[in-house]
Amino acid sequence: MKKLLKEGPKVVNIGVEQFYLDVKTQKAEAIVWDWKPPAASADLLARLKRIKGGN
Amino acid sequence: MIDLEKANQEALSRLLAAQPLIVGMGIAKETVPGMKDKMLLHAGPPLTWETASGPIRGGVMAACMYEGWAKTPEEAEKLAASGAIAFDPCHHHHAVGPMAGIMSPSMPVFVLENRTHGNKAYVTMNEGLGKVLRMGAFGPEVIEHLQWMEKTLYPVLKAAIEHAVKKGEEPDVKNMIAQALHMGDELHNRNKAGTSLFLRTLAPHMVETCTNSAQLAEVFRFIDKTDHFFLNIAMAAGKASLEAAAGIEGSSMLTVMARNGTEFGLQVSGLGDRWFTCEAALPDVLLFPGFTREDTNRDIGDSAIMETYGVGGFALAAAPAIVQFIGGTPKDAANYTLEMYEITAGENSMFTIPALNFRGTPTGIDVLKVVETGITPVLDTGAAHKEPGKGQVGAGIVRMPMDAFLKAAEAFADKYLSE
Amino acid sequence: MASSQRLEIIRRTYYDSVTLMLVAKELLKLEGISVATLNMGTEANYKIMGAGGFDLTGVDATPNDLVVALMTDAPEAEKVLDDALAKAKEYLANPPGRKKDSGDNDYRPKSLDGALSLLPEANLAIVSVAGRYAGEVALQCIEKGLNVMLYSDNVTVEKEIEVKKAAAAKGLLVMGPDCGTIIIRGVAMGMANACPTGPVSIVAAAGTGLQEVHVQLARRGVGVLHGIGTGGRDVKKEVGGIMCLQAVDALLADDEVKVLAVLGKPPASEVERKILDAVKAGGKPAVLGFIGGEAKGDADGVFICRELEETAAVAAALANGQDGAAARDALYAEYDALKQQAEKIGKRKGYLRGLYSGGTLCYEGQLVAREILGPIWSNTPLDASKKLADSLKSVEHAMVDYGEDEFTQGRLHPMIDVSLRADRILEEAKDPGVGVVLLDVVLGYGCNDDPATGLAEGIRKARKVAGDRIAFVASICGVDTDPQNASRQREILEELGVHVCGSNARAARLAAMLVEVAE
Repeated sequence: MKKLLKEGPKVVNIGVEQFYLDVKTQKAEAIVWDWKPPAASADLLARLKRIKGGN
Repeated sequence: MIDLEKANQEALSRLLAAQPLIVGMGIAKETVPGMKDKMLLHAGPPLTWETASGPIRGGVMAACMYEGWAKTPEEAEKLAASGAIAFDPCHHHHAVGPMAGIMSPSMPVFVLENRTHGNKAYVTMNEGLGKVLRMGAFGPEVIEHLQWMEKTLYPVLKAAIEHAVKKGEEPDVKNMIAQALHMGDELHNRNKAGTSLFLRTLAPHMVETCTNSAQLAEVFRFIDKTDHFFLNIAMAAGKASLEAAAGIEGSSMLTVMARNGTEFGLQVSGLGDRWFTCEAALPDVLLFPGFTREDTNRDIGDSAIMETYGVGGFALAAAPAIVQFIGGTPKDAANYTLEMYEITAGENSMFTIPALNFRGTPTGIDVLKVVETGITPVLDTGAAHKEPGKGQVGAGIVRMPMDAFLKAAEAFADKYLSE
Repeated sequence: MASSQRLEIIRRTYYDSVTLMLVAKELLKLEGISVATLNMGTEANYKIMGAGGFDLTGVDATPNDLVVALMTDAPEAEKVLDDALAKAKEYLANPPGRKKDSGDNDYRPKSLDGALSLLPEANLAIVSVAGRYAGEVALQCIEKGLNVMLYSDNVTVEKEIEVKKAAAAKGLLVMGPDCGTIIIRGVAMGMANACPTGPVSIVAAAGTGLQEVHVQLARRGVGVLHGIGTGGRDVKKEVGGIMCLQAVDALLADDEVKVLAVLGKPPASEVERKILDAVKAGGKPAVLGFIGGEAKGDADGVFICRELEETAAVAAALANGQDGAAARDALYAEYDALKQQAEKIGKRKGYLRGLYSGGTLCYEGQLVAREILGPIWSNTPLDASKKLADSLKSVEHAMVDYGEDEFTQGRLHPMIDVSLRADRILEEAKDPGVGVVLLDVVLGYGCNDDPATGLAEGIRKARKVAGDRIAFVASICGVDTDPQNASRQREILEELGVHVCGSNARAARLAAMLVEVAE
C-alpha cells in the first residue's frame, strides 16, 4: 500500500473502459486486462487453485 | 501434491528437444504399428460409421475402392456400414492425417523419427488439390490419382529419401519449419515455403536415384503445384515431437488436438492417452465462390497438431496475408498470436516470428490456462463440404470449442487433487 | 433467363488468393452479379471456374495471368458486367477489408499475467466487472500484489471479508465494494474530480461524500493528496472497518499527510471508537465527518463534524494552521444568512422535492431539511417509516436518490445519464402541490459530460407547466478544472433562474427555507 501512495497509481483496468481512458488522460500509466468470465465453474476454479498450492 | 509449473516445464522441454527427421518411407500395413488388413485409420478422436461426417464417409469409400475391397461406391458404403472394417484414429498408431485423414493398408507413408527420444511417426503423402480423398471425394479420378501416387510418386521419393539417409542427410523437418516461418508460411494454411525447401533438399537425391526422367519430371511438377505437400510432413514432425512430451505426471500441457468432422478431441500429457471430446466447431470462414455456410462441414483433420506444436494459428503473425481471411490487418494477425501466449506454457526455442522481433512462437497449450482465461486455441484451417466428394469450401480462422477443455480440466482436478 | 458471362484476363499480374477471394466477395454484393470469381490461370483454377459454370473455351490465361470471371442473369447484362468489371479493377487497386493499421489496435491481454507482463510495475487494479465475478477477480489481483479499487457492487459480504482479509495480510488496500471514487496522488479514478493536491488526505466510506469534501477543500484553496474510499459496508459491524482502519493508520504514518479527514455515514459504534482512538493517537490534526452522527465535542486535536462542507471547512482551517472551531462557527453564520436569501427570492407554497444522483448528498440533504421541515420521505429515508411506497411517486416533502437499485438495474448511473431525473423534474412540476425542487449536479471524470444541459431540458419544460410556482435550487459538486467546467455548468443553470449554491448543505438549507411553513 505504501508503494501505491508514494509512487502514484499504475493501473490495470478490468471492466468499464472509461476508467482506463480517464487515467490515461491524467497521464498516469494504465493498461487493460480484457477480462471475460472464466469458462470454468467457480467450483472447478477453486479445485484448480488448490492444485496450484493455493488455500 | 504435484508441482504443476515443474511438470509443464518438463513437458515443454521434451517437446522442444525433439528433433524429427525423415528416415524413410514404407507401405502402411508393413510400416505403421498396429495397422491391419481391413482397417482404416482416420483423423480425430474415435468414431463409428454411424457418427461419421460426409468427408470421412467419402474418404472411407474411396479407400475401400482403392484397396479393392469394393468395386463401387455403393458396395463400399455397405461394407463400411457392415462392421467389416475396423476404424481407428491415426493418433492411436503414432500417425496423423489432414482433413478426413484416411490411411489404408496399401498407402505409402513417410516415416519420421524423433532423433532425440527415438520415437517414430507416420503420415501419408498429400494428394494435392481438386477431387481428393482427404476432402471425401471418391470418384474414379481419385482412385487413379492414389494409384499414381503409389506407383510413381512413392518409389521416386522413397529411393531419394533412402539415398539421403544413407549419406547421413536425413531431411531435417524441424529446420525446414523454422526457415519456412521466416518466409511467410505459418505451416497450416500456408506451406508454400516449406514445400519449396523440402523439394530443394530432396531434389539432388531424386535426380541421383531416379533413372526415368519422365517420371521424375511428373513428380517434380506434381510437388511444384501442390503448395501443401509439406503440410503432411510437418504434421508428422509435430506428432513425433509431441509424443515425446506425453505421459508426464502432473503436466497440463496438450499433446493432441484433432477433429474428425463430428467431434473435436484433445489429450493432455498428465492424463495419458485419454480423449476429451465435444462437438467440433462449425467453421465461419471465407468461402470459395458458389458455397455458403450451410455447405460447411464441422471442423475436421489432425492438422490441429500444428497449433499443438506451436505453429499454424499460433504463428499467424508470421503470415499476415492469411489474416485477410477475416478482413483484418497484420496487426490483427499479431494480436491473435499474442493472445495465444496467454494459454501456453512457454515460447518456442526454434520457431520464431520475425514480425514479433523474432520472439519464439507460443508453445505448449496449457488446458488449465484455457479454462481460466476463457481463451481457446485459434486455428487457421481449411473447411470441407459436408457432402462427400464436394471438396473444400473455404479456409480461415476457427476457434476450438471450450467443452473438451473443461472436461479435461475437471479430470485433471479429479486426478491430481490430493484429498 | 440465360446467363451472360464476362471473362477478363489481366496479364502478368499476381494477387494473393486471399485478396482475390475478398474482392470476389465484394463483387457478389453488386446488383445483378450471380457468380464472381478471380483466379490465377492455373489448371486447378480452370477446373474451379468450369465448375462455377463458366465457359472457358479460348481462354489462354497462364498461371501468371489473372482471370476475372463474372456472371449475371440480369436483362441488361452487358452494362452490369461492365460496371462489375470496373469495380473489380478498383478493388484490386485498393483491396477491400484492408484497414488502416492504427495504434488503437494494440493488443489487449486476456489474462492477468498477460497484463502484468506489459506493465510489471502495476500497483492498482480498478475492478468494475459484474459483482458475482468481482470478488474472485479482486482475489487474483491481490495474489499478484496489486491494491484494488473495487467499483463493483453486489459482492456478498462474505466475499468482501475474504477479499479484505487476504489484502490486509499482504498490506494491500481494497477500496470497495461499491467504491466509486478514489484519488491517489491527485489522480482521480472512478467518478472523481480534478482538484489540486495538497496537505489533506481523506478516508471515505461514501463516494459523493468524498467528492463533495474534495471539491469544498479545493474551493477553499486546499489540496488533497489521497482520497481513499472504503465502500459503505466497510465500517459496519460485520466487516468491522478492516480497510478504513488500515487506510487511517497508513495516512497517519505518512509524512506527506498533514491533515486527515475520515467521513461517511455513521459507522458501527465499535468501529467508530477504533477510528477515534486511532486519530487521537495519531499526532496529526484530524476531522471526523460522520454525517448525521452524534455531535460529540471536539477533543484532543480531533474535530467532530456532522456535515460535508463543515468537514471541509474545518479541515481547510487546520491545513492553514487556523482554528477549526472558528471556521465551523463562521460557516454556520453563513448558513444563517441563507434565511435572508430565501426571503429575497420569495418563499413558495408547496412541498420540497429533492432529486439526487449522489447517495451521500441525498442523505445529507435529508438531514439538513429535516431540521427545518420535519421528517422527509425518501426511497432511502433517515426514518424507516418514511419510505416511499413507489420511488416514482413523491409524497409530501421528499428526496429521491436516483443511484438506488430500482433506478440503476440495466441502466446507466444517474451521474452518467441525467434523463430520468430530467423527466422527473417535469413530473414534479405537474403536481400543483410542489413548491421547491432541489438538485445535485455532480461533475468530474466518469460523469456525464454536460449534466446541466440535460437537466436544463427538464427545467425548461417544467417552467412551461409551472411558471414561477416552483423555485429551483441546485448545488454543483465540481470545479472549473473538471472536464465539464463547474462555472460553465453554473451558468447554464442560472440562465434558467436556478439558484445555484456553493455546496449541497447550503442548497438543501436554502431549498428547505424557501418552503412557506404555516406558523
